[in-house]
Amino acid sequence: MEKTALEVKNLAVAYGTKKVVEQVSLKFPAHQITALIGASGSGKSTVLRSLNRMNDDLATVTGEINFHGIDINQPKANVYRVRQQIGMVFQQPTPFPLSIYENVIYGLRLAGEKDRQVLDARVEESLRQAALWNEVKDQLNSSALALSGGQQQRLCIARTLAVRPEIILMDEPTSALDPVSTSQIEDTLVQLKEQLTIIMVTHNMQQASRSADWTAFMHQGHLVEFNKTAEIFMNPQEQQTADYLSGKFG
Amino acid sequence: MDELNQSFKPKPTVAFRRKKTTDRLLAPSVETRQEWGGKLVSCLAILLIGGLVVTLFAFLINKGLALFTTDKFSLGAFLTSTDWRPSHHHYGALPMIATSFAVTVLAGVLALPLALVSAIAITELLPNWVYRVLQPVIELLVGIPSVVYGYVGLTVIVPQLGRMFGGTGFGILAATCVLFLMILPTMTSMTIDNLRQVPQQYRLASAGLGATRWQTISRVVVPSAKSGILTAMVFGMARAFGEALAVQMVIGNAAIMPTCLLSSSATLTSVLTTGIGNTVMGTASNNALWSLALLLLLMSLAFNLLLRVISRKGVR
Repeated sequence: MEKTALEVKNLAVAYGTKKVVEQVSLKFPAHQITALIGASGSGKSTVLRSLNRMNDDLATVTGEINFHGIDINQPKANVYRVRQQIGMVFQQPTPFPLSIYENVIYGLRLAGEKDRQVLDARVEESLRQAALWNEVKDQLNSSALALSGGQQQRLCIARTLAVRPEIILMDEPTSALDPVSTSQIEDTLVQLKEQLTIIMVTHNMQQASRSADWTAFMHQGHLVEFNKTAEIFMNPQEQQTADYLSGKFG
Repeated sequence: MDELNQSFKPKPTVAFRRKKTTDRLLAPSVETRQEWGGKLVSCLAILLIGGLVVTLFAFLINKGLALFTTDKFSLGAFLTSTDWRPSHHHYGALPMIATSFAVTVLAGVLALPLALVSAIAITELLPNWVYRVLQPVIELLVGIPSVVYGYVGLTVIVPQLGRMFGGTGFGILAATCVLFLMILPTMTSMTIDNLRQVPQQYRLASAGLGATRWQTISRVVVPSAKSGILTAMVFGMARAFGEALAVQMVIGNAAIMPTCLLSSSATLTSVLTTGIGNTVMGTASNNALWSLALLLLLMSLAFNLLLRVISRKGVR
């Protein structure tokens, strides 16, 4: 098996007394795209948000999340550093009401980077990685809110890339976008996995089969099956997986 | 057409259904009459409001300019002279203009940071039940009549200032304190509303990039609500500028150029409320008060325009 970017052991998440995720153990392979699929309420987004501690104020997360051999789910972990290393892109494009340039360097500014040359270079690098550079290079100082939905989402990806994370978590990154923007973003993701590991939640089966190398199927808070995407889609081992993929529920 | 009619199979017992479809489409109905009636009532209401505004302006302009047209007092002297002695036909309004601006700006500048900090605490830091408890309380404070604030100023603030700094305690500082108390709830409430309008996703996205709560507030939340917060400040200051009664109770009402924060002074509004009952309609000293009123109206207009400009800037 390939190198592991992130290892989850016995992850359980509860909102108050309501348990929404139980006994999830997974190894996310490095430099691969892993898709989390499952019906609404299966807990896939909850798992995703737990991976960089975005659930801290909302839920109780127990279990281990090992990143470079360190459990980042322990209270001692510096959540701000964790989130710089494990970035997140949300369902809705959320550019801040700032210029395109300022949006991209937001995370770097937080980290205290002031050197103009470093910032300029990182803006270009990140926007190129997100396949947005050619479209916006002449309007870096205009408002990010003037971009189209697809461009805004790629800007959000660039913004996350700018802090050079090792892992990017994506929560249905294309569900608010049209098919053209969706396929542009999927292309972008495939190119990005040379540099980092991508874990994404998706409702879109085609998207999982098109772009993910690995797929984890979740059902009612449990991990049902985790395997190479081709295996999951062509030859599911569990009946629940087969039922979900053939549209019997979900 | 025939086919269509047959497929509907109209019941012959109901009178209007026996009519042909084309007749029904063109005939007047209850609905069209309601539409017309509604439009008429709305138009009348707008005419009434518009008429009120127009007549108010015409009246104030007419009375306010009488000092310069009928009584031949110079406009320049009115705006720049510091000598306000109606008994001697000196109508220099500068002391009141200066005092009005002083109390307004001071109250606004003092209230803004406090309003901002409390609004941030309520929307960003404290649990949601604090907001649910405090919002009605703050709105209650907004609705307290100004005479109550004035009375508190007169019985608590003025004596206290007198003890602390000597003198009577009446003056710009006392008026500033009272206005500060008065506009703080308005500004806090408006700022809270504006901060709550900042999309939750901005906060999540910022946290997802490794921002601390403080970084998110200072770099995303407050800048996003900037124009709304400025609007709250200008709105509060407009209220402070126009407040008459509470100010009149604590400012000392001496129409002289203010020299320090603790000397008795007078604002445009306080001179108006004090003087309007003591002058005879049509005399120069009465006209001078109308000129002050016109000045107030123009200032309110300026504040309104400023609000428009700021809130339009917020829309992208």
